[in-house]
Amino acid sequence: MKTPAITALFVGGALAAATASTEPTADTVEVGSKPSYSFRQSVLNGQGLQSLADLKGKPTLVDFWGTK
Amino acid sequence: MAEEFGDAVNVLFVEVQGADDGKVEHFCLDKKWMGTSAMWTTERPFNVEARGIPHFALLGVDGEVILFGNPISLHSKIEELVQEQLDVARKGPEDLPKSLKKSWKSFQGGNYADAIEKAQKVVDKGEEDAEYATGLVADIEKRAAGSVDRASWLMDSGRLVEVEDLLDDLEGRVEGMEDLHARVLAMKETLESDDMKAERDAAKALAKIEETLHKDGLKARNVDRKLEKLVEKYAGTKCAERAKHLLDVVTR
Repeated sequence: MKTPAITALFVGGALAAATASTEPTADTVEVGSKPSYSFRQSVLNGQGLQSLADLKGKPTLVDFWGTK
Repeated sequence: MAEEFGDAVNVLFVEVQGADDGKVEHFCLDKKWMGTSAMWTTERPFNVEARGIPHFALLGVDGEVILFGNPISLHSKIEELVQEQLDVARKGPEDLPKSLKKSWKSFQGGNYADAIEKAQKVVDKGEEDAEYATGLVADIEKRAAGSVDRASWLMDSGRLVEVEDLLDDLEGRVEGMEDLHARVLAMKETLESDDMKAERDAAKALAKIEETLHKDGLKARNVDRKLEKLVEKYAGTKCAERAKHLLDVVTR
């Protein structure tokens, strides 16, 4: 299955965006860090994704966006 | 980028403006963004030093952060680094010993049992690459177990359309890995049993409704009525629970 329109999603996210939440909810990472995280709730369309570790083996783009 | 790389790249969207999961799902359905391999969450797994949204972090195949910032202004750089990472995935890390190239190739092809067998031979020789090979065996075992765990999750959540192909695929990939192979065979047996007929039928019916929703978004014709009917007809199945959830999302 392809992931069409990811670019459009970025743009959509940009249009929907105001500013990011300033309240940190997780560790801040730098280039070179290897973040670890186990999801507490089901990830939408995650097909059973439990943690960031499950994503290893492929490059992963984590996009922070907003619905407002 | 998606057209260029397709499923070779994981895409995880993290909503950071405080919406709940239902709102995100409603929003994505409305925009017709579902039905792709992109994933969505409201849990922030980590932060990066970036202002405003959208912003992104690109993780390499080993899970290391290799770039972060604004995805629109850094689009070309993302493409370049993704391509580099795809090369790493295919050829292996720079420090991969020559003796483990074949094992790596099998690993990336998803043939876990064969990859372990090849790496184990290097371990057993006890030569200079043995330590690296031991680590590789552990990585392969972890990835294989993760794949079987995901199949198990799909079964448990009534996603039988999705799990059927995965199990067929996994059966060959983990053949020779006793415990994992046994788990795959047990799931296949359960999936094909008469007791699961209602679940299988419900899963197919729900998959059709989801396909329409993904294509037409929230304006999909009579989608709420179709979901209501499914909930009623397959009451007691896991798919009926999922359909009820979807109905709540669609009508919120």
